[in-house]
Amino acid sequence: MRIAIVGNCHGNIIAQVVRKALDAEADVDCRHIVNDRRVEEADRAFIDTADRVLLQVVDFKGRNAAVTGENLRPGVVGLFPLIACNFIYPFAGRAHPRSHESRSDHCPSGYYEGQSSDSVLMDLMEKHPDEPVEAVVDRYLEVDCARLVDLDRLYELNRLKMQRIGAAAGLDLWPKIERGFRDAPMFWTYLHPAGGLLRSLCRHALEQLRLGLTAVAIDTAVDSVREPFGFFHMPIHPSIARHFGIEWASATYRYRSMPEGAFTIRQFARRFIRFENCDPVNWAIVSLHAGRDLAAAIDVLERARQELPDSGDILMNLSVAYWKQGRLPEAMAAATLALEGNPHDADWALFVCVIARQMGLLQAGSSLPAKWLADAIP
Amino acid sequence: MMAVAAGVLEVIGVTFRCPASSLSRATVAEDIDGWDSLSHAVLIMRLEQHFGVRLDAGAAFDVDNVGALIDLVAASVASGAPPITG
Repeated sequence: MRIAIVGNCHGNIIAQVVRKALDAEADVDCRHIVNDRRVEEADRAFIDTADRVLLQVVDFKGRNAAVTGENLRPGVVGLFPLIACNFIYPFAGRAHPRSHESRSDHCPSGYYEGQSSDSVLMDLMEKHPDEPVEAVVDRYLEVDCARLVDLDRLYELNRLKMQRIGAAAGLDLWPKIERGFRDAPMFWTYLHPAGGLLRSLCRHALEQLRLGLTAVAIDTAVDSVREPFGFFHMPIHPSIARHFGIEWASATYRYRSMPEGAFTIRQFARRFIRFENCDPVNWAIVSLHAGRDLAAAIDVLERARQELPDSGDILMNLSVAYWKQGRLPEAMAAATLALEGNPHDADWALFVCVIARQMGLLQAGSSLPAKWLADAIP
Repeated sequence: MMAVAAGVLEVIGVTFRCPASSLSRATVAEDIDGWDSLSHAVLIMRLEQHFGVRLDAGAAFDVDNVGALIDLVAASVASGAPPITG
């Protein structure tokens, strides 16, 4: 069976879930294809001959998407919605001026690209180029965003947009967003929804595809989706948090920026101005997971560990690297250290259990893995 | 109409940081870096602030190009659409 998932990065997550759900079926070819005018000929041919096509609804006429519902064979097409939120990120979209130059194979979009950027901060950087960084940060944090844009109208427009998309795609997630965004992060960036929304999206996608899956198979695949976009959390400006009553987004809240760690909005602004990033470590992580240059990647990660000893992401990646080299005790040591710093990370806990099993530590009656799992899975 | 067109181009230019002189009625979002489905909502809101009107959001979401957006704003200004209050 050939399945094409056509859309933005949401489609990539859906494609992974579909593959997981159909894991036992060897003849399944499920591909995520980005829908823009540059769709390659091979992808175009795949879509045209696919048994199922799942197409993202974006409700926007200004772009010449290569694939639309009209140019697909009837009977094979399902729809899924774009889930986005810009009322809390009204100034995202324009990349840091140095972003473009930082593009590479391991960071194709560059650092501080549109989703992880803030035009108010960039305007202040341009306007006060000779001021100390900390003074510009102070200016940024003192801005009242509600005086720059009509936040309530933007909220209304965002709601209307999501409802239109939801109506067209058969899945309106706005009520969930509206009910929950004040209580917990529901978006990591304006285009990256958090796990709860993604799981609803993936369930809808699996149902749309009519794959004959059982309810249990769908549940199992959907439950495997955790936080695939949680690697970078864009801070919410304090004045926007105040305006909408988003209590969790306080001045002391730490937003994750993998692999360096987690930062308050003040720290984020400082790093943004200085264009601080962790390029060698990102190279090492991408190399590690691609199975390239393992020894060099370990060298970079070990040095990074010295500089950022509290970074769980660095420790976990180092653990994976040791594990790939068969260095299980070192892998275990790094992974357990990471888990101690973040005991609620289920993926990390499971990896610790994998290593423990391979080391023969999972004897009958052992309570260690159970403890790790109990901490990680509420 | 000319003043409305100039104002719309100015707001687009400021929103997406592109020279207004590079825009025409035929310009579509794809021609402008950063103009996507969601930033279009920011643009609508800025146009409303600039002209002091409340646009029909559905119609504003449906425009095909800059020319259609100018026409929509011009019609709204001409009809004395309810101003933004508060």
